Amino acid sequence: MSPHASMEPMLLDRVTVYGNSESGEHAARLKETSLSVAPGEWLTVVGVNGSGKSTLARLLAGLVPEAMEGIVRRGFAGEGACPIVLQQPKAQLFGETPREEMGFALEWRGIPASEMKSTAEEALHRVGLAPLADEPWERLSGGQQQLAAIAAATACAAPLLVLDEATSMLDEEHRDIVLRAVREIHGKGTSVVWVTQRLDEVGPEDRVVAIGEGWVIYDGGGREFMYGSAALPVSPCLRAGLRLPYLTELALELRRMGKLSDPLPMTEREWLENWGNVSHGNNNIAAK
Amino acid sequence: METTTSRQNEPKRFALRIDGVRWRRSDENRQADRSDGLTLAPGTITLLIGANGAGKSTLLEKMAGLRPPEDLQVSFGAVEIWKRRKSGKAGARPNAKALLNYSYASQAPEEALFARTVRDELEYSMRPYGLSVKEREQRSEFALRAIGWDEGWLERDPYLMSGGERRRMALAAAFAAPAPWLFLDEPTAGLDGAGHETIADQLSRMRSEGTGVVLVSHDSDWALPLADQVMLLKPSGSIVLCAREQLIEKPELLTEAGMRVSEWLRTVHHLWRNGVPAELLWHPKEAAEAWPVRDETEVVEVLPEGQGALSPLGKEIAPRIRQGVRHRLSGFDPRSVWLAYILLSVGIYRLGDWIGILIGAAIVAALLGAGNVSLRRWRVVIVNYAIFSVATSAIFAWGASGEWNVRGEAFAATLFPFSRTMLILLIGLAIPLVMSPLSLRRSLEQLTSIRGRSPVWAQRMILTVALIMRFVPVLLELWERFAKIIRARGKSVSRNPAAMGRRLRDTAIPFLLALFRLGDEVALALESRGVGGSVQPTCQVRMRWRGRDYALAAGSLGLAIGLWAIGSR
Repeated sequence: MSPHASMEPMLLDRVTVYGNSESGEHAARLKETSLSVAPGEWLTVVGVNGSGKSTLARLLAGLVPEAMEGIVRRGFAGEGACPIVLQQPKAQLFGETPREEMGFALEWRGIPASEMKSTAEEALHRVGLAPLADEPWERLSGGQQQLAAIAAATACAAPLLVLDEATSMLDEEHRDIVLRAVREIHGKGTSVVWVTQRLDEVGPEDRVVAIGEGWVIYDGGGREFMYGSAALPVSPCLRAGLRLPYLTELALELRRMGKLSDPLPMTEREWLENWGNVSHGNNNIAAK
Repeated sequence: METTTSRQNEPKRFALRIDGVRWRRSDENRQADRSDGLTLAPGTITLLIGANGAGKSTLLEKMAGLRPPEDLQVSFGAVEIWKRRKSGKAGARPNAKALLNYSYASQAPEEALFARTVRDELEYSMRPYGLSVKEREQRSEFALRAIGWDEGWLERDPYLMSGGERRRMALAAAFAAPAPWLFLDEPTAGLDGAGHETIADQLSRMRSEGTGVVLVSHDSDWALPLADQVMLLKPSGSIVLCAREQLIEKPELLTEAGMRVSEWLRTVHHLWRNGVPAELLWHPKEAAEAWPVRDETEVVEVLPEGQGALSPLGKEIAPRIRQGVRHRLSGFDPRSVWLAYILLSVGIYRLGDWIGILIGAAIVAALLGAGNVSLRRWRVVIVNYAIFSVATSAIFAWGASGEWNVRGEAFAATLFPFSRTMLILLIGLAIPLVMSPLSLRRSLEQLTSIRGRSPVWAQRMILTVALIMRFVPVLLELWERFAKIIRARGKSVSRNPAAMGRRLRDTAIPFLLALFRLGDEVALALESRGVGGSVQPTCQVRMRWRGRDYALAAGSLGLAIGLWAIGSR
């Protein structure tokens, strides 16, 4: 890949993907989707079950669907499949320990045997699994197994990492561990497509793409996605058929009652700041 | 409101009692821990929460009689779900009558649907209850309404529905059974917003009709406002029972159970500390109304970071402690293990009489014992093979005699080769348990390689074999999962062949569908790792024989020669 090509964004232009519906007919899973992903970008994709978000994730990961129309320019992501991490750890782990998994992953990336050990060690370190490298899966939690899958998928520097509901089987503690590891990989320049149905994973500054019944319903900032804007009076989150989380609903109610004004809080820090405003300000909070 | 359900098919009311688990109430101190009498009242919703791996689903399955209870006993009213052994301990077989007391929807219950119409799915869940036609109609209507559908859906094929519709269908099947208790494991994961609301309404309605609900859910901001009480399952397996308000007032209850306090609960906790009563905090609308406006509040307390509910996250996570000794054989070169297996098999194959078989069996047992290998995982295969051998031998002996009396010699003569093969099978089955498929693959590739490269066809074949071996346990797990769901819905524990045959059929359809999905995911994962691409895989580490490998080979050669000598007596 030439350095020039590596900076081009990935582009989807009116892409329709057909899947074999279970009745055997072709049904569109993704409809006339146009989208771009820039190098180093973090893209959160949300939608309910069956909305087409997995289809989009696989397409972005470079796994070619059976039938599609439209134009895909892969740009910086390069030809061929990118690393993808799926919901079920057991479908994507082929070894019996994290170290064996790394070995398997690296062999197929054509890494010379002499560099294999250090590369594997490095990748395990990155996700914090180095001390558990020789533990069999039964002794690792679901979150740790996902970390191993991520480490194996990103064993070599990859331009793009796709995670398709990688945290949906995990509790908040383990979800945070996985999310932190992926944020770190992102911080080193890898683009990340993070597919989720858990809205508390949406950050206010994240770019959110919401999919509903195969259509891109929304593509924009996280805060507008949750709360809407002047141009979008109804929360795009509701339009995508998703349930508003408690805090989102609370903030919307507070705005309606005139007790809070835009920008509505999304993170815990922002809530605390508002809390401070409501109650004469608080240096303790402002200092943070 | 649901008013059409007539009195007689309303579920009866029973308390649910769990004995044999350590528990206390959240307002009691640790000394109050006891191990019996944890009782859930009928007409209440109990939310069961705990950290990943604490065993929420396991507990639910034990309560439903779907997995060995260990020390647990669960009773619905006076009926215990596990039959008691003579010793008084809960036994290994569930009491078929007790299974009728609950209806159960597992995680992703839609994956276990198998009938061709909505009507058949609902009928399947109601069949064990012996309802009249009219009652069945009423229950179906009740169940369909619960998920926002009507009779127009009865003839539709669940197989052709969207994911969300299939989930609703599976939940309707759980609502259709007229059971006094309802167990739900993550019913709303992946469901749309409207679905969350429909399910919540239905659960409240069932509660007001006296049904008890035990609910496992990640969506705490959806589930907690619904619940009457919370069962906190700690990683140690003990339970703290608390009123839902307690989680607002003392979020540290969650951290003590190894969980994180979610943001919404922390925010609500702040409101509560500043004087908003807990009962106003369950619904955002009420909470917003009670939200203190500027200048009205006098004392505002904000927790500094790192204290109380705001404790920092990211504590180290230790590996899960489970018994699971690494097998002694995993330290050997896979090739020496294979060689030993071949040598022993040849030796066993030379055995010519029953005394020889006995000696062979003793050696096999000793080897499995010494290698610390448990063949539990293969019990189905082993039992089936034994039944097949005995049955075949009996049929053969009966045919040979031509009369009704079965001749002993003919029986023994046919059984003999089967027994010999069984011994070889037993050691063979141990190999995948002590050797990882990838190390097997590497050893085979090394055997077939010429000047450091093995031919592509050999690589492919070996990879396929290794992957099949890798996924056998996953497949067994998958099968067990669907077998459990079918047992929970069909309520049948009978061991007669017809009932077993029916269960087999009902399990097979969802199993095969799940198999295709798994295959699809595995293929994706392999493709994204570059497997099958143009890259010639490099070989990680060349394996070398060490002293112990030679010792293993020599030892098995000795044993093989010994067996040979016994066989040639």
